[in-house]
Amino acid sequence: MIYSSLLYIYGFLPLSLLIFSAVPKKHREAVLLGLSGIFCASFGLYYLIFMAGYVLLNYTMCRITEFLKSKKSIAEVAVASTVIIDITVLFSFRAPYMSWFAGMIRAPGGFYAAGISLFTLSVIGTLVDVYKGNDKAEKNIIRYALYIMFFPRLLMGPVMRYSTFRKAMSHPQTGLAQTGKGLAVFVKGLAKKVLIADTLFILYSDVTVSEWTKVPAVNVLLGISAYLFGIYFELSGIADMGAGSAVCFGFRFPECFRYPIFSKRINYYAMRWNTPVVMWFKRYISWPLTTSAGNVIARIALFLLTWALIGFWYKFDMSGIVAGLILGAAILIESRLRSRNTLKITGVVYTLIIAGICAFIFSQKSAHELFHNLGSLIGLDGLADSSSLYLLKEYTLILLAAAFFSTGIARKLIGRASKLKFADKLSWFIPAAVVCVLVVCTAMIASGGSSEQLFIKL
Amino acid sequence: MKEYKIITAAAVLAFAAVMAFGTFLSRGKKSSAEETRSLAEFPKADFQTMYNGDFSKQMNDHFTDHFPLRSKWMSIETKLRSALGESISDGVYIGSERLLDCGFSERVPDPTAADRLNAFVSGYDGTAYLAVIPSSSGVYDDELPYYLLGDTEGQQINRLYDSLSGGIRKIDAYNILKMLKDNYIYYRSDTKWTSYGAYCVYRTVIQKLGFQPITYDKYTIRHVADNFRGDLYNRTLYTGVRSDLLDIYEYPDGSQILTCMSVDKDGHTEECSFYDMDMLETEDMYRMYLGENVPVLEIETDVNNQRKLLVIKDSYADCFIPFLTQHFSRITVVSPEDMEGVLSDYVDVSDYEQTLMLFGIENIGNTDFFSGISK
Repeated sequence: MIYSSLLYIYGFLPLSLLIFSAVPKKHREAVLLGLSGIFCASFGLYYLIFMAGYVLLNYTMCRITEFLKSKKSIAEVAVASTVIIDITVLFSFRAPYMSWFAGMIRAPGGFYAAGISLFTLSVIGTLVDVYKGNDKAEKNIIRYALYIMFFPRLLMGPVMRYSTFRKAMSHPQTGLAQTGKGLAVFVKGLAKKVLIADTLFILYSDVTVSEWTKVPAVNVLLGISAYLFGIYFELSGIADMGAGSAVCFGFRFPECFRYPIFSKRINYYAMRWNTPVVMWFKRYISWPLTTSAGNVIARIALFLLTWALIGFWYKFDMSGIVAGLILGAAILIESRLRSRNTLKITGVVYTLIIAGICAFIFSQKSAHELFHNLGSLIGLDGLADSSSLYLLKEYTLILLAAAFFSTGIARKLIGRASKLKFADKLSWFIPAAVVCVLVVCTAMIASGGSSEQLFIKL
Repeated sequence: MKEYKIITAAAVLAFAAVMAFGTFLSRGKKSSAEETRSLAEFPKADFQTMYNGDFSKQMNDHFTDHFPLRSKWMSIETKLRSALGESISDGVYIGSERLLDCGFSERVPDPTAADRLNAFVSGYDGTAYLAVIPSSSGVYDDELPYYLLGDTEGQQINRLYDSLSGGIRKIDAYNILKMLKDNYIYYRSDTKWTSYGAYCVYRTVIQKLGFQPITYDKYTIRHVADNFRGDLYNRTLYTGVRSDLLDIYEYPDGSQILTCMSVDKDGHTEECSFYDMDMLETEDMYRMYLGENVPVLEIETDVNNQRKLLVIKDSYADCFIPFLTQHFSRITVVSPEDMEGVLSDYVDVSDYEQTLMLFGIENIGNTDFFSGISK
C-alpha cells in the first residue's frame, strides 16, 4: 500500500486515526507500531518479517555498542559489522548486481523493500551516534521500532537523528486542529504526486520511447524538464504525504524539500533538495574526514567524493556518481566566484542550468545512451519537428504549472494573505479548497486505484 | 484562527468516511454494467499471497473496483487527464472525433498461427479464404500521436499473410478500409467496424467467393440504436464523442433466413434469433448481431443453391454475416474464442466446399484463437 492509493486515503489512514484517538495515551506508541506493522505487511508478510529482523538486529547492536563503550576495540567490531550488514542489505535491494543477497535472505521475486535507502541511513547514523557517545541507545524497543517502521516516514523519510526523533515523539500535539493541518499537507503532497509528477512521467516516457531513434533537441529539453520537475514533485509529494500523515498523529518531523529548483545559488539548491539526506552525508562522511584532510586539494577531493556518494545513493550506478560530481564541482566554482557581485537572476539561471545538466545525466541508463542523447541535445537530429509541436501543445501548461509551484511564490502569497485584515474570513476557503483538491486527486487515481509509477525508487 | 483547521479535518474525514462506507456497502457487487466487466472479488487469505504481497494488491483492486460512484470518478479522470497532459486515458486516445486504442503497434502474429492455418488448408479439399480486419486505430492511425506509431496494421497483417501457403486466398481488407476512411466505417467508441465498413469489404469478399455483390441501393437500412457505446468507451467512460449507430441492412426482395440454431459447449442445439433485439436493452448492445456468444451457429436460408459456407470468426464478423445470407443456403459460423476443444469437435470441415476465416487484428497474436483451428 502506498500513500497515493484509495485504500490508504479512504481506508487505512482514517481507520488508523480513529483507532489512535480511541486508545489511552500510554498505549499510543504501541498502537502506532501495530498499525505500522500492518502497513509493512501490506507490501507482503515477508516485509514485516524482514523489518522485525532488521529492527531487532539494529536495536541489539545499539545496546551492545553502548554496553561495550569502555572497550573501544570490541565496540568498533560490533559497529563495523552492523554497518556492513546494513549496507549489504541496502545494496541487495537497490543494486541489481547484489540481488543474489536478496535471494539469500529469501525475498520473494520482484520484492522491493520500500524506503530502505532512507531508513538504512537513519539506522547507521544512530548507531554511530551511540558509538561516539553523542546519544544514548534507546531502551524502549517499541519506540526504536517506530523510528524505523513508523508508516508516515517509512517510504520517504525524513532521515533523522534519533535525538530529533525522540524530541518529536515526546511531545505529540494531538487534536482535531493538528489532524486538519496534517490532512491539508497530505492533500498537497497527493496533488504534487498524482496531478503533476504522474503527468510529467507520461511526457518523460513519450520522449524516451525506446524505438524512437531520432530525437529533436526540443524533445530532449522537454524530457529533461519533465525529469527534473517530475522527480522533484514525486519525491517532495511523497515526503509531504508522509509528513502530513505524521502531523495527523501529532508528530512534526523535519522538512525535506524547500523549493530548491529556483534557488539563487546552486549551493542552496543542493542543500534544499532533501536536506536531511545531504546533512546525513555531511555529518557522517565529510565532517569526520575533513579533520584528517590536510591541504586544500584533499578537502576539495573529499567534498567531491561526498557529492559523488550522494549521487550514487540516489541511483546506485555511474550516472548518479557523475551527476553528483558535476553538482559538487558547480558548488565549488560558485563558492570561488561568490565574492563578486552577481545579479540574482544570473544565480537562478546558473542553478537551473546545472540542475538541468544533473537531471539529464541522472536520467541516463548507459554511457552509450548518454552520448546518443547528448548528440540529440546539441541538435544532430534537428531542432524540432511535428512531434515537438505536439508535445509542446499538450504539455506546456503542466510544465508552467510545475515551474510556478516549485518557486515557492504560492507559499509566500498565502503567507501574505494570512496577514490581511480579512484573513479570518479568507481562511474559511481553506477547507473547501482542500476537499476540492482531494476530489480531483481521487478522480485521477480512480480507475487504477493508486499511482505507482516512479521516476526513482528509494 | 484554529477553527478552519478543525473544519478541514472534519470535512476531509467526513468525506473519507462516506466514501469508505459506500465501498463497504457495495462490496457484494459482482460486475460493472458501464465497464462490461466483472469486478475484483474480496481476496481469499492464504499464506502464499499474504507472504509475497499479492493479497494486499488484490485487496487494493477490490477496494478500487467497489469505490462508490466509480463510473463517475472514471469519466472525470478521463477529462482531467486530457486537460492536464495529452488526451490519453487508460491506453485510449481521446480524439475530437473518436476514441482510439493506443496499444496497436506492438502486436506480432502468433508464431503458431501460420502452421495452424497451413495445416488447415493442406488437409482441406475446398477453398479457404482469409480476411484479417484492421482495428479503428489501424485505419485512423494518422489521428494518433507520433510516438505511438510503429508498424502499421497493414504491415502486421501482411506479416501473417506472407507466412501462409498459397492454398489460402488472402483478402486485403486493410487497403479497402483505409481508402474509405472518410465514411462511417468504424464506430467512434469501439475498435470494430460498422455494418457499412463490413459491407464495403463484403463486396470484395463475395466476388472472390464467386458471387455478384448486392448493390447498396437495394438495402433498406434500419438504425436500431443510436446510443451505442463500445469497448473503448467501457475503458474510459468518456462521453465527449458522439454515440454510435447500430444498423441492420435489410433486403426485402432477397432471401430470408429460415432457421438459426446455436450449439453450445455441451453440444445442445437451441433455436436463436439472428438479430437479438433484447440485447439493445443491455449494456453490451453489440451482441444484438447474432446474439449471445456461442461456439457454433447454424444458419439456413431460403437461397436455393445448396451451397454451404463455413465461417471461422471473431466478433468482427458479427455484423458481416448478414450480408452472406443472400448467397448461401447454409452457413455455419464457428467462433474459436467460445469453443472448448477444437474445430473438428463441432463441425465436419469436409462438408463445406468453401471456408472463410474472418477475424480482427486483435486476434493475430492470440494463440488460443488459432489452436482452436485444427482438425
